[in-house]
Amino acid sequence: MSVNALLRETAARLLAEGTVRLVVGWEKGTLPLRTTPLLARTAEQADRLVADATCDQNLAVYLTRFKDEKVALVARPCEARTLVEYCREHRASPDRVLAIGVPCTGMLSRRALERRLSGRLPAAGRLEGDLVICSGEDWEERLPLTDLLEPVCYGCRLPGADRYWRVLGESRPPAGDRYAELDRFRQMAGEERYAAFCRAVERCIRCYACRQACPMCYCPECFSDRSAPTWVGSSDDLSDTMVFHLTRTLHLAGRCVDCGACVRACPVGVDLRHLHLRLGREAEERFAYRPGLDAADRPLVATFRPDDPEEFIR
Amino acid sequence: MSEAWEPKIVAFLCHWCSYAGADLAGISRMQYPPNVRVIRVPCSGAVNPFYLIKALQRGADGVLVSGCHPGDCHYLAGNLVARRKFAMLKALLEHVGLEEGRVQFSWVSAAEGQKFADVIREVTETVRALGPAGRFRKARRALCR
Amino acid sequence: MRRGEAAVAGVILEHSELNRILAHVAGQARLWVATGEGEEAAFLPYRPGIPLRRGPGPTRRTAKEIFFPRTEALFTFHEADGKPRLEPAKVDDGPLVVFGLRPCDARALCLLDPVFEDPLWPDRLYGGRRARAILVGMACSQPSRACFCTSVGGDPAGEEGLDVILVALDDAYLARATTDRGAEWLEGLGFSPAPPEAEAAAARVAETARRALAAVPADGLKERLDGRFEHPVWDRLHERCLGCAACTYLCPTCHCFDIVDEGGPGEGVRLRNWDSCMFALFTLHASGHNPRMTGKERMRQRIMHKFNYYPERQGRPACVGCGRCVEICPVNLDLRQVIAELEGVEA
Ligand code: SF4
Ligand code: SF4
Ligand code: SF4
Ligand code: SF4
Ligand code: FES
Repeated sequence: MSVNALLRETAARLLAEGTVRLVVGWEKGTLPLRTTPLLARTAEQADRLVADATCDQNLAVYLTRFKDEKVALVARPCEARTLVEYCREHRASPDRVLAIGVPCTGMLSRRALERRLSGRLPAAGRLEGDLVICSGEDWEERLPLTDLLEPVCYGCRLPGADRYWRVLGESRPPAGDRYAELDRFRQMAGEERYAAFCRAVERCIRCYACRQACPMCYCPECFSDRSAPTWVGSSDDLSDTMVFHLTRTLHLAGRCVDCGACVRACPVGVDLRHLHLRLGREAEERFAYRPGLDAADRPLVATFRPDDPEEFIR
Repeated sequence: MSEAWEPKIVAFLCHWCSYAGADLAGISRMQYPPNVRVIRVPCSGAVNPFYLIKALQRGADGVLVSGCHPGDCHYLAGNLVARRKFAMLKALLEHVGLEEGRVQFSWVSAAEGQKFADVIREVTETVRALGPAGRFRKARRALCR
Repeated sequence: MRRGEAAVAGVILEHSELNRILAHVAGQARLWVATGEGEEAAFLPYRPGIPLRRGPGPTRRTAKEIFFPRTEALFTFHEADGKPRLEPAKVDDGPLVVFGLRPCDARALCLLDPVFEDPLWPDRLYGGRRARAILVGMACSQPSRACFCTSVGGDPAGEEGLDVILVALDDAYLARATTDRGAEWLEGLGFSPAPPEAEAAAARVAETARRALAAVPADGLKERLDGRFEHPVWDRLHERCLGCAACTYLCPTCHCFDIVDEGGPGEGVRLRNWDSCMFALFTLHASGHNPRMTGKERMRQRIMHKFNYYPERQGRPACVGCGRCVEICPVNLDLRQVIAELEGVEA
């Protein structure tokens, strides 16, 4: 049975039996090679579920909105890592959220595809095995999916199978160095890094799609929305926008699960993943702490070890 | 203005230790540069990293946070948790181009008047050597675009 | 300002001429051009060699930003001799040319005009920029896959709001003035009149574009939404929505703003910043009460404003079918689909 068929059957059963009230998954979207979240409440709706390389939102974001319902969550490793963090932070518990593990071999990157097509927007598209087939009025391209994956997929970290309620297939993300992007950025001198950061942030229009798409940005009131008094100015001032991004990154220190949802959500192409990677690596190297993998630890910055390194303190 | 530039340093000092250390340095008539603006906080653990970012944005050339030595925190472990947050903050700011030395941290007890004076001197000299801070600074908004 | 009787016919503008002309125009007016591709496509001030946009459909960022920028200082205040002093922002009404807008973006400005140029409370800053602006549009030969302008009263070769419209032919542009102001501007540049074949070719380009556009059932939507404030359809529509402002900030007709003061002791500036009805903060009262409590109320507001309240006042929807919100919504919550779902609402 195909993954989609298995998934639909599992979801329909859970809903019909009343085990859960809601299944959070994806369905085919309205644009070629896109999916959209599906909040299925009936077996009939569950029949529209899909799970493939075009699924690119982190679905866990919806769990904090339906916090009183028993929910099944269609989960790739991205969602599973988020669930680990939700459990750690008491946002969800395995007895409220049943994670249905679907296999993932990497997400199709819309940006990589657009670049590859030099700006042509496909009017139609589909996946066929390892091929992305897309076409416009007078053209068709058949491209290997493996050349068009999201950067976060390389070296994706897989939480253990015990993180799922049921696993419908094995995930095989592409191998790679998760920190390659970070290393590239760090090769620059401080001044250039600052200039590059400015250039990226200058594009930001403060629409907060990054924050809203991020499953770990679930605060009921974001610091950037604080208005009495104002924490961060809301104008187009560059420093205020920097303060927003820096503070958001800090609030995700040791919590960001590197799903890349924030980068994909941005309508104007601001990519600050390397900021999160910087702190992710700091957490790993300094504190041997890996977000999304082991829920047994207390949250990184809510705890300490007596022998945490302090070479930077006088 | 023709006055020579002097570094402006914001120092968040823990009430229970570094702030008292500053007091001791004062009553002992120890000399240290007058460049710090002290903000007394209940504990180094009460210093939100956001404050440091804001201080830099609003015109500080350098920021110092000083708390009790590990094991001496009045709230037992405020400083140890803070240590993690500050490690993250420093890593992030320097990653995006803040010069090393603009944000600094120290443990200074109430008995360490001399250490306090030394820390302030060192921090001030480091920041002086770096020159006026330009990065992350909020510019005054002019009327017309 | 429609074109007078004695208006000029179309002229031919060679591709190779374009840069020379733009450089010339930039010498006489503030010139903004559509530049960049994909998510980087936007209107930027002209500089020599700036790559002009080719891609299908509209730019990612809109031309509304030129007239209604994301942040605008309204006045500064300071203390002098113990008295408060206000210094209002200078109205910028110098010559301004915008090059390369799509017809939908020009129409969108016509929808903003009654909001900012209300006779009772005219906005001098917006009005000043609009007053002498010459809008040089580029007809769509290739709509984007998300465009639906013809369903909301627009056209890929629509002239509303434009002073000059260009149609890309195989090796040249056909340029036609649509207002007196546009005619004067175009005459000043001096081109050869277009042969009749060019007009026919332009008509074919427009027809091809029209055929490529999908239809969205927006007819009669205003009436269907009348009195449907409490309809159950709103209960589910918003569920996938993340509550960001991607759709509204990139919408050429959305115009919500917030007014804030910034400053320090003794001086400051009053700013008008974009805001979005999709944000919870937008309606949050000082008391902590929020009349639009959840995503449901916010989504309803966005849709009702576009397709019911605005039409109530201005006689047409506040959507030009540019498809931006469709293309950029992070969760693919497609406005076209929302409109289709609302079709089922009993009138
Ligand atoms: S910050 Fe970005 S990558 Fe990290 S968890 Fe949030 S959405 Fe995912
Ligand atoms: S999604 Fe992009 S434009 Fe919007 S706030 Fe985030 S970085 Fe800025
Ligand atoms: S862009 Fe999409 S997710 Fe964001 S507010 Fe609009 S409809 Fe909601
Ligand atoms: S609502 Fe969407 S399609 Fe309509 S004008 Fe705004 S961005 Fe364009
Ligand atoms: S009380 Fe001094 S650091 Fe906590």
